[in-house]
Amino acid sequence: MLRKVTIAAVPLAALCLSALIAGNVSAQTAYKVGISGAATGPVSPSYLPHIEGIRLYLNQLNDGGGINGAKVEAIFLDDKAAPSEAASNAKRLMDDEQVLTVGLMSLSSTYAPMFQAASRTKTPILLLGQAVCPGDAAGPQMNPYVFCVGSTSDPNTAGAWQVPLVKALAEKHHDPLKLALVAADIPISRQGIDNMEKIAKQLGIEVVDKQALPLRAADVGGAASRIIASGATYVTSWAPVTTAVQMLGALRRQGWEGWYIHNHSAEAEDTLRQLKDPKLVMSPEYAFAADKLPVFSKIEAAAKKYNVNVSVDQLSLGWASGMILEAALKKCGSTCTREKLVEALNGLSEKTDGIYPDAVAWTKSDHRRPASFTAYAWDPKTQSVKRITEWSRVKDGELAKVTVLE
Amino acid sequence: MSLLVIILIQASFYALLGMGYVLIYRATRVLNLAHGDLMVFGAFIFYQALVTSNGSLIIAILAAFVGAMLLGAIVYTGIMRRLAGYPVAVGILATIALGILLRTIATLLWSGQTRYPAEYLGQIGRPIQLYEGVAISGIDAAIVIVAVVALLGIPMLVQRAAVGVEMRGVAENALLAAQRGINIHTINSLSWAAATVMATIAGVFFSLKVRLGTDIWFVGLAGFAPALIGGMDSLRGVAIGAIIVAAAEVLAARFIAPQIALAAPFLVLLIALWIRPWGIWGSHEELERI
Repeated sequence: MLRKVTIAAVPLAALCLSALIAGNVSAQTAYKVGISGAATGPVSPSYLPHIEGIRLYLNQLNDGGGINGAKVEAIFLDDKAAPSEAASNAKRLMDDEQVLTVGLMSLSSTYAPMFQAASRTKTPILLLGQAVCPGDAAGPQMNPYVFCVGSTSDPNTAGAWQVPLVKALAEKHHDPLKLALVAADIPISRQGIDNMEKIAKQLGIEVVDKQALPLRAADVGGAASRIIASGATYVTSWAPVTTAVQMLGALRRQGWEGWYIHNHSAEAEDTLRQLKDPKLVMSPEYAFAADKLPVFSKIEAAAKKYNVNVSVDQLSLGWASGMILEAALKKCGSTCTREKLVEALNGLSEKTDGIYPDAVAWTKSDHRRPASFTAYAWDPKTQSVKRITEWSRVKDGELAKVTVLE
Repeated sequence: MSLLVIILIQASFYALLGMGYVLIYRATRVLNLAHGDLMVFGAFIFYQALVTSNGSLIIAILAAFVGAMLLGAIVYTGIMRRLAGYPVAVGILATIALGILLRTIATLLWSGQTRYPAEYLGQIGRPIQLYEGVAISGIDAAIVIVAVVALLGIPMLVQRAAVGVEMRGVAENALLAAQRGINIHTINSLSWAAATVMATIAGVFFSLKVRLGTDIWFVGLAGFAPALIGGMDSLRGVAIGAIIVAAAEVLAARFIAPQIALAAPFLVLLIALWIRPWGIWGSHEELERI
């Protein structure tokens, strides 16, 4: 009898044990995510600091216990800003590693292979750091798997802020306004200044020169002399910061003393600090460390702890990206799947401690981050970077209202 | 008039770069496609010394000079010397690999971050008014002066100094030079070291004028067209080549469109090669080797 009971108890115990194990497996052991970005290659200075920022955020998150008791296992891959590398990263992350989501921090030329793989595998893609938000993040042709945390500063939105900013600065300083537009010789940048030209005309601003500079020019002295000859008092560009710095330097060396208004990049604040030119203005969509928000102290402390040798202002967008990722995974719950994550992202609303001025909020029909801008310049009196305008929200098809600070 | 000044500045910069190509080509018949990366590496040595010494320009220049000499000598001794006797194409391919290697090492050592070494040196970019409408900045004036000194001094050194005569001997006939007791590897090392110094000077000027980053290696390629137009084995020819290229670039940017400024020198190069393939001052016999 005893033997019969024992024989019956063994399979029963095994069944209970396997049920227990199965129960544990269904709960999240780790949130596996992928980050694909331009860590090396010619454009890496604009993306690598953000990649380091999110890595730093996830390190401190995991060391603090993770999310819902599970760690975030992040797989970082370099795409060198090359579409072919992005395609191979997409396959590895979405097919082989079966990640819950892919954070993309790279040039828009890498989007197509990533988006195709995302649609095929139903994997949500988060455009992080400075990755530009594509047109299909909202509207009738919307891609349901693409969510924008990064730059909303597409060529049209940027112009709606930057050109009114030029006008406001000229009015504030009682300068005659003759505007020159500078782009890098790449399609999206040229599109940016084409749009600015239209807005300038709409605002009654005289555009005296418009030019696109080769990204690999050794010297732009000739192009700068053309701007000076045109009589421009203000120059504005929508281009990589390297283009702006090269043009500004060439203009200054030839004695030009006007204002130069540029969009922004990972290195924007650092550039202001190093160049110390009081008439160089950067206009970002996020707060610079100069604003001394408490979150910057947190980032600084974490960078010190994890021995990350990148300045706070360059880590902040990656840090904010980490905050969004954490909020999304938390909302997705302890049995998170790709489907559940898409659902969670569709209703997400998360503040980033002021790094972005507005909460990052998505709905089922709009995956863009609200676009708000401000402007910073070097203040020779305080020998520091200083915000020179209020924040201004730019809505679809409207021009920004710019308030220049005293 | 101001356009002439701009052309002069740009030509001076290209001449500094071009001389590096010529020095190596004359000695080893190798077209050094790692010149831009040697330029970046040398400029980073300058920057590192500048930062470490709290902005001492003298220490930074000395460190860059010594570092560049060593780097050039190591490149020749460690890589190029072993390829002696192989077809010229092997040497050229080796310089491509060398360039990628140097770029990777520079990224690992100094990261991809952009630097502005000029911040340590104050107002070197401020224009100095020559007369009405014509200005030149301190850094541009330095580029012109150094280029003129190099264009006059290096050919003179090659013509008159003992080491220069040995360099010419090795360049003309290495076998005969070796039989006459000249240590050709020492001479070739010196040529590589001198070329790396020239690349470093150009890199330092570019980083002080524009920026410093591992991505600026492409600037080094700008010296290739002047060297080819002037004649790959002619130090004098570089000056003429540099003026032609700079004029083409500046005038195209000013009067046509900046987009074609990069293409203009190569259009000039094509025309020059069509008329005189061995370059303005190059030796006729170099044609097949190129």
